[in-house]
Amino acid sequence: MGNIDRRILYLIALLVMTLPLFLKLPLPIADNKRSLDAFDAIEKVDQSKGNQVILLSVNFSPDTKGESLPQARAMVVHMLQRSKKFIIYTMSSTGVAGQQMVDDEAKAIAAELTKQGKPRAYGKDWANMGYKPASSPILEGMARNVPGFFTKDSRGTPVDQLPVMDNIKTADDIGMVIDVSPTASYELWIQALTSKFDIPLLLAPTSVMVPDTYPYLISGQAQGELRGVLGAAEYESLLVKNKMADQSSVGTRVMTSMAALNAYIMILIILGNVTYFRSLRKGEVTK
Amino acid sequence: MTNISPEQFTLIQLWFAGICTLAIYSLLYKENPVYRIFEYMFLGLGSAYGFSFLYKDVMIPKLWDPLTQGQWWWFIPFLFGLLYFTVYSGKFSWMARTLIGTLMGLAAGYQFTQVVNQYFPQIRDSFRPLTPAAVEAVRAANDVVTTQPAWQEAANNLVFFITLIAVMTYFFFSFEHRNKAVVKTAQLGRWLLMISFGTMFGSTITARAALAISRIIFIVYDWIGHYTGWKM
Repeated sequence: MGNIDRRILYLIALLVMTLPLFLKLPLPIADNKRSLDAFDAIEKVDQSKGNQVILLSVNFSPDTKGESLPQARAMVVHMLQRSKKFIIYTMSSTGVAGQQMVDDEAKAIAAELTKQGKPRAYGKDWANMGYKPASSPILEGMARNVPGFFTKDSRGTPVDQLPVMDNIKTADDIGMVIDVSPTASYELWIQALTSKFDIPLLLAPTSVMVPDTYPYLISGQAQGELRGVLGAAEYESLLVKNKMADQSSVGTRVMTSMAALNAYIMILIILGNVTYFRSLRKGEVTK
Repeated sequence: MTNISPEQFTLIQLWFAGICTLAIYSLLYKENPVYRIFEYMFLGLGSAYGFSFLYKDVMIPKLWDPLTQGQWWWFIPFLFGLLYFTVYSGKFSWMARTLIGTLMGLAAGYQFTQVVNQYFPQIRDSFRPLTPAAVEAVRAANDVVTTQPAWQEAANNLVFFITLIAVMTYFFFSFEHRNKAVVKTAQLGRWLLMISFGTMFGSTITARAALAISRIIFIVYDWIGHYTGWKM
């Protein structure tokens, strides 16, 4: 076992990840409290008085597209289905690419919904507010004057010509912040906006960041979380259960391959340990 | 020169992205020049992208445009910014230090106020009821309705409390750990830290695997699928 060429192990890993994509194995996704809380929090945003826009902070670049885009996509489906108005913003220069991907997804979903008799349109239901560098003081400034911060969208349309921004003046008019990011940008939101103005915060970090977010969830500083691509799969499953999507999307497909890969890694760990202890007993290796 | 149609441009992008993906993953086979060339290309592209983005989205709209529109006072922060370059002069490098010191002082002062928003709720949350009776009392006081039995929450809180104390003891370096109780608590803290690091490592593998799978999806469905018609 110890003498197996690592390239053979990589090749098997590649097959293990690829085959489930072709076989289209149905993977049951269990409900998770964090995703359920995120889903319920979006449901609760009340925009009946014409304000309380949802601020979707997208700070991922193409390198983490595999995890971050399915998360953002699942929540965009939810918001467009329920006609919850949202604006897409990035505080990272490399996040512009991710922001554009989310905007494109929103366009495709809106076109599909419009075909189904639920008209959704750019500017009215969502807007892409482009890139603006941010720090805590800058975001505090935004809290006092939202249209002064987002003067125009990424297409150059002045903010007063975007119906989605009607009646949005200060932090009191922001109904929720959703942070889709492979970095700790949620800390900026907590410092400058959500804790201070009691605005719900949803987190969508990459898997590697999930353990870092637990203190914020346990203390109630964040109301829900999509835990990496698993969170996206859980959210897609909630959308299907609530008849907002016909079938699960890319997040669930990635998780099917992931489950197979996890099983493969566990088998390798067990085999590796068995081989090691056997060699130890035979005196072939020393501690 | 003939114009490239949007379809042709998309196809070029597709092939370029596919070749880049394969070139980077070729490292798994062995270290090779193709991998190195693409690695350096990525670094070069990243730097060039960052520079052009800052120039186009920061320097031009935030400095050049206001200056050319008569808002001369924007030149003052620009001059302060230029002080950074004095680090290259032995005689005037102290000027850069004044700027760096001022900014660090500002950041530290500001950060101090932000700690209240960021960490105080977590400190407040660390005071938890440790017995089922206390859990019931807290729930009643806060009108909390839940199906979770009180003993379960009390047990969770106890694990939280023990972890908090043990890990804090491990990181307490003000005096030497000689007392047996302190030594054992610190050892427990180290074990608990190792468990949490293990969780983080597991999450790291999950994250990397998700990214690898997304590249496989790109190669199979976007690149090859463009010709074979394979759909997700």
